[in-house]
Parts: sequence; structure tokens; C-alpha cells
Amino acid sequence: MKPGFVLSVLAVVLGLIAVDQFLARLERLEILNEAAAHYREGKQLLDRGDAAAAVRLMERAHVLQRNNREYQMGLAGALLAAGRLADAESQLRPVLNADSNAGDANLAMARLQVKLGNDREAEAYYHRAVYGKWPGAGPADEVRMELAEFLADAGEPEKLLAEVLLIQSGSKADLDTQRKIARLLLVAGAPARAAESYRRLLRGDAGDVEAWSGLAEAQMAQGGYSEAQESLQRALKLRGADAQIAGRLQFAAQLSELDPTPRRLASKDKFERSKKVLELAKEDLRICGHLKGAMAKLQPALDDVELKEKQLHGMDNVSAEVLLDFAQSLWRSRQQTCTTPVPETDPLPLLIHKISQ
Amino acid sequence: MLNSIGRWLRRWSDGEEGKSAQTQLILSFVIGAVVGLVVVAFILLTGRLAARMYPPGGAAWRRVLVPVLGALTTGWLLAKYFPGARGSGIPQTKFAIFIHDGYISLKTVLGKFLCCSTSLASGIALGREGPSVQIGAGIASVLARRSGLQGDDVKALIPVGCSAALAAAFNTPIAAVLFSLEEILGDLHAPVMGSVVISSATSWMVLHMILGDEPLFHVPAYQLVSPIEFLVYAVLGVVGGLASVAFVKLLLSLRIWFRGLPAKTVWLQPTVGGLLVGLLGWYMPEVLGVGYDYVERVLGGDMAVRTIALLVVLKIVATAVCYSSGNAGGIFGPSLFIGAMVGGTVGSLAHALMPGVTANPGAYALIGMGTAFAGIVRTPLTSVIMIFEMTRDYSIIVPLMISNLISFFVSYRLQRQPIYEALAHQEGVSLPGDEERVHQARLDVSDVLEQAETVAAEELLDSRKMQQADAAAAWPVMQGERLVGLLREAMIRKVADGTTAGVAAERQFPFVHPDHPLSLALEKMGDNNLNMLPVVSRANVSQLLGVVRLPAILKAFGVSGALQGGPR
Repeated sequence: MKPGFVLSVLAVVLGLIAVDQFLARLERLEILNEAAAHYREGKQLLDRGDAAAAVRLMERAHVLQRNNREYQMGLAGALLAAGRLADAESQLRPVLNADSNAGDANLAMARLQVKLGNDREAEAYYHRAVYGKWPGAGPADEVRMELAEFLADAGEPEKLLAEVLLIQSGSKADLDTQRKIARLLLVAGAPARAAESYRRLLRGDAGDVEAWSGLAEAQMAQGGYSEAQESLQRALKLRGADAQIAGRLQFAAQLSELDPTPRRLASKDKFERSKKVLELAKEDLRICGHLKGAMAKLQPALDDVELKEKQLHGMDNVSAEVLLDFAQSLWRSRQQTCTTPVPETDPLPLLIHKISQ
Repeated sequence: MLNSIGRWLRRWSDGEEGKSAQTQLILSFVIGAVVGLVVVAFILLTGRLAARMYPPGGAAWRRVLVPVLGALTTGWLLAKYFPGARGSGIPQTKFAIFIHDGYISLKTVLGKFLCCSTSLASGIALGREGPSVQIGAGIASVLARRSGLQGDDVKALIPVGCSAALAAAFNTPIAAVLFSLEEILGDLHAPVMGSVVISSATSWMVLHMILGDEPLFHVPAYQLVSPIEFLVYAVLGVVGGLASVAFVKLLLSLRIWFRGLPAKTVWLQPTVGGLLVGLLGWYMPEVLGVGYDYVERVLGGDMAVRTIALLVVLKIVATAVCYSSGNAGGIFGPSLFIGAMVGGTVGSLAHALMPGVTANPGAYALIGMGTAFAGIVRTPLTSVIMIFEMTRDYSIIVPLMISNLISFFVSYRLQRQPIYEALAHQEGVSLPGDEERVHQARLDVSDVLEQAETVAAEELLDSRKMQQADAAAAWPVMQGERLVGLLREAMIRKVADGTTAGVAAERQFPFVHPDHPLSLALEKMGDNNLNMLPVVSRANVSQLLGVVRLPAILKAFGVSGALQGGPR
């Protein structure tokens, strides 16, 4: 081999390296720009609600730049919005495999699991999202709030209360969050705390209609029907044409009229109210029996109560208490057979709750 | 410093012993690096050109106009300036090895690079791997000649360039080595194997250095859901084999038709391919170009079965017309495309019928790629290894082998001549075919083994001195049952009276084993000026099994009676 040959080969190699590097850089740049354009456009489409079209663009962005985590997460989000749950999961899995503590990926997976109906997994992913890694301070409270909303929907009052108390204790929450906290406390079965939260809101703004309404609900849950009526009247004064508030006011009045527990109530009135409560309990049980086709199973309880009711003499306090015991017993039977919640306009659950206290 | 390097190189290259082998070794690295860099440039340039010809959101008319213009331009360039750069590049590379003593001109390399990058970027439905092979082979040829090598030494470096090119084009270094040996040389035990491996590895490193560790396809993890799937893979092998035969037969018959057109239309013929692919691309853009993006989508199970099935037909037609009309580009890429679509179709149908026991259609598309490659290119081993390298998943091997071998068998039964061999025949060139190689390999020493006439070691040579024999004659010398030497006729004439055969015999002598090819026996006879060789056992080289004689070898090759008065 002649030196001239060696030198020319070296020169060719160096020249080719330069050309290749230039072309490779050019390609990378163009691909980066193309992917970014697709991602931007996909995001706009997603914001406009066109999830299917957004998926196509996000997919292109992801294919062009597979290592870009943001694009992959964007694609997973678009797939989730488009209802392609299995595809969304297959995008999220590698992200979580790469970093199981990633807050955003865990949150997306939690939302996916909610859609899939896997409540247990969803709760686990929400917890990982709350305690996971986020860029900067991270939206831990927002995620916890989403978890709380999920727990409220899933019917987990104890867990819900725990999460809401954590949110309440840890934040300098804005008005909207404070309202949510108060509402969730009520759902979690903590009406006293909820009422306190609403009162705090009203101290800040006495013209807050939602807070008055919420306070009324909390008062109703505590058995304070007349206080609830007052709160609802305040709310109605602020927003006169609100049919919902008017409806709740009517409901509170109904509760007040049916409530057999006030101390100053005459024995006869107490007996009359107790009888009405018992009639409501019987009616609820019959509806439940018909809905579930379990009348044959429930009828003996009804017959038994009616028989015992006939044996009662007098309209004194003792008889009223017996009637209320019957009502509670029938309510328990109803609850064992029909797990579906009663409508919000049914006064019986609140009354039974108060009686049992 | 350069002077001292030059002096060292001169000193080193002046030593005759092993000079050629050392040059080849160094050139293997150099070829690997240069070819790797050129092929990477080829891939990148083609991609960037294509991005400019088909910008995102571009108008539909581009899909018709650009391939027509591309084919027109390259057709004219190929006819006028680069006739050697036409076609795939694989047959042309084999011509270089078997006909032109390894000669490929620099002009052909440049022409191939220029025409193919233009043609492929314009959307012609052909692949970049075949052209890369010819470019790699051409670079190897040019470098070998410029470094002072000649004849067989240049020829030996052609597969070295091929493997470097394929390693960079496919990102599959092992498959590149196998392809060079299995298809280009037709011999998996070729002595250049070491150089081929070196260049492949070097080129692959260059590819990784510049483009990073990006596989050709991003393949989801392969999964065998149930053993019933083996049956589906067998069906895929049959369907893939039939599709391969349809493609090969269509391409070959169209090529004959185009070759029958007047010679003055040669420059215009590629435009027919360009126009067809343009019209198909107007309705279905997936047909344009090599289509690896869509292969990846099928692998991800992200295409509708109707589209996939339609693409099988359209791509077969588009590629056959583009190739046969004389456009520059290969059929490797389209083979993978067709295979992926066939696999995707079979997989989608199987999954729709038996969702519980079959994997996602993407898994079938993956196997389908190897299936079509085995059926069209007819390199079953390369196709298995190539797909294995792409997936890096061992569990894919068995389904892949089943499907590939069935496809290979179906293709072999229905179209005896492999595509590259048939294309060469159409050019009027006869390349060594599979049957020829099998026949050559079948003839070995055991086929012409004869009983040996031996001499005892203690026998006095006086009486033998009086006999006249061919100077190239010789006899095995035995001590009891042991072969101890070889007595040449020339030695008998030289020795003094009273000398025994044991004393006069050569103790270091040439011999062969029964399984040695006859060509080796011939070579040894020539090197040692003998017309016979002792045949000894592999287990014990002192055990004489017989002899092999020159006339018997010639007779086995069909040259009987060529040598009169042969040895005794």
C-alpha cells in the first residue's frame, strides 16, 4: 500500500464522517421539528375534543421521537380520551417501567384504571401519583383532590375522610378547593366538619349561595332541620329563582314536619310523626321488594310489624318509640335487600339516622 | 510522521510472505468503515430528499408527479451515463465476482448512489438494501485495486463490501455476514468469512456511532400465546410462499416484456414504473417508496385488515413494475414490506377467528417479513437470523423457522430458479446455481477411491530401478499395517543399490481423507507433482484406506481418457 493511497483513504473517511454528521444533524433537527409540530397540533385537537384526530398526530410525533417522554404521555392521554384504553395502557406501561415513581404517569394510569373499572388499582396509582415525582413542587393537592373525588364516587367514606382531612390540613386552599373540601366532608360522613367549613366560607363571603346551600345540607345531615331551613332561605334570598334551592327548602320543611325527636313535641304529635315515619319505612320496603322481586322474603317482616302495630294501645311517647323501633327495623331490612341508594328527596334515611342517634 | 508511516507501510508491504493476506485484513477494516460511512450517507440523503419531495401535508398531485419525474430523470441518467447502476445491485455484484474478476468501476458506484437516492426519494417502490450491496461491493473493488491487489484477491473482497453494506443498511451485522456467504458467494464455509465478519462489525459500529442504537423497526415484544399458533404460522408460510412466487413470476415476466421493447426506449421505460406507482400512490400513499413506516405500523397491529390485504397486492404490482421497467432500486425492502402485509393479513384473520389462542396481528407481520424474504430471496438462514436480530427475541425463532422453511419449500417447488439467478439468465449471464454447487460439493475422494499398490518398507529398490514409470508416480510405503511414507518414482532412480524403500521414502508426504473434495485432491497433486495421493483415515493417519489417482478424478468430472499412459 502506497502512502498516497493511505492518505487518500484517510481523507475520504474524514470527508464522509463530516458529510454523515451534517446529514445526521439535519435529519435530527427536521425530525425534531416535525414531531413538535405534530404534537402541538395534536394537543390543540385534543383541547377541541377531537381525540381520534389527536391520536393520529400524537402517534406520528411519538414514532418520530420515541425517546420523548412528553410525546408518549401526550399520546397516552389522547388514547385515553379517545377511549382506546388498552392502547393507552400499552403506552403508559413503558413509562412506568422506566420510572415507577413518575407522578404524571401514575396519575394517567390511575385515570385509566378508573375508566377500566379497576377501583383498587386506580386507588393504588392515585396514591403513587400523590407521593410520586413531579417536576417542581408538583400538584400533590390537586391529585389528592382527584383521589378524594374518586373515593367519593367509589363509596369509600373512611378513606375519603382521611384524604380530605390531609388536603384541609396541608393547604392554603383557594375558594373553589375549600368548597370542594366542605362538600367532600359531607360525603365522607363528617357533617359537623363540613358545616364548619361552610361557615368559614360564609365568614369570608356571606353572599356565597353555594356555601349556604352546602351548610344547609350539612345541617340536615346533623338533624338540624330548622337551621337548614334558615340557611336555605338565606340562599333563596340571594338567588330567588333557583328551583333546586327551593326544592331543598321544601325538603327541609318536610323533614322538620316529620321529625319525631324534638323535646318540646307533644306526645300525640310525636306519635303521629312516628306513625308517618313508620308508613314511609313500610312504603320504602314495599318499593324495594317489588324492584328486587323479593316481596316474599320481606312480607313476613311487614306482617309482623303490622300485627304488632295493631296491638298498640294509646298514643303516648312509649308507643311512639315502639313505632320508631319498627321503622328502624324495617329500614334495616330494606338496606339488607336493596343496596341502591334512595333518592335525595326521600326524607327517611335522614330521619332514621337522626332517630338512631 | 507521515513519512515514517509511509516507510513502515512500504517495509511491511515489501515482505512477500502473507502480504496479500495482511492487506486483505487491513482492507477489511477500511472497507467496513468506508462502506459504513457511505451507506449511512446514502440512507440519510435518501431520507432527506424524500422529506423535501413529500413535505407533511403536501398536495396529492405530488404523489403522481414526483415519481414520474424521478423515474424520468434517473432513467435518462442510467441509460446515458450509468448503465451498470441499473436494477437491484445483487445480480450485478455476483456478475462482478463470477465474471468480471471482482471489477466494479467507481463510476458505477457513484451512479448507483446518485440514481438510487433520487429514485427512492421520489417514491419508486423499491428498496435501498440491494443498491447498498452493490455500492459496498464497488467500494471494496475500487479500494482493493487501488491498494495494488489483483485478480482473486480483489474478488475475495467483494463479499466483504457486501456484508459491510448490509450491516449498515439493515442494522443486522450477523445476517449481513450470512447473506454475503449464503447468497453472494453461495458458500457458508468460504475462506473470506473472517474478513466478512470484520467488515460487517466495523460498518455496524460506524452506523451506531453516527445514528445511535436505533433499530430498523421498533418491534413490540413477541409473544407465542398458544401452541395452536404453530399451525397458523405454517399457514402463513404457505401464503407467504405463494405471494413470493406470484411476485417473482410477475417481476420476471414483466422484465422479459420490457426487454423486448426497442432499445431506444430504455431511458423511458422506468417512467412506466414511476407513473404506475404514482397513480397507485394517489389513492394509497402507503405504496410509495420502501414503506418502512407502514411496516412499523403493521408490526404495532395498527392497520385495518382490508388496507393490509390491499397493500399486499398493490405493493407486489408496484414493485414488480418499477423493477422490471429498469428503475434503480432493490427488492429486499419491498420483500419485507410484502411479507409484513401478508403476515398482518393472516394474523388479523386468525386473531378475528380465534382471539383467545392467537397473538396480536403484529406478531404475524413480524414472522411474515422473514417468510417473504425466504420465499423471494431464497436465503432461509439469513432470513431467520435477520428477523431474530431485529427483534433480539429468542422466542421468535421456532415460529420463524417453521414459517420460513415452508415458504422456502413452496417457493422452490413453484419457481425453481431463484430470482437473482433468473434475472442473470435474462441478461444472458450464467451464474453458478444451487444445483451446480450441490453437485460440486457431492464429488469427494471416497467416490474415486481405489485399492492401493503398496511397497514394504524393507523392500530393496534394486529391482524397481529397472522398471520405467511416470515421473509423477508414487507408492505408499508400509511397515506392517502402518503407512510410513511415500516413495516417488524420481527417488527410486536416484538412490544407490541396496537401499530399502523405507529409507528412500518421504516421511512428510501429502495425503487426503475420504471426505475431502476432489478439487482439493487435484490441488494437492498439482502442488506436489504427483498423479496419485494416499487416502488415509481421519482417526488414524497411519491407516491407509486406498489411493486416489488423477485419471479417476478426471473421469469423475467427465474428462475420461484425457490422460493416456497414466500411473499404474
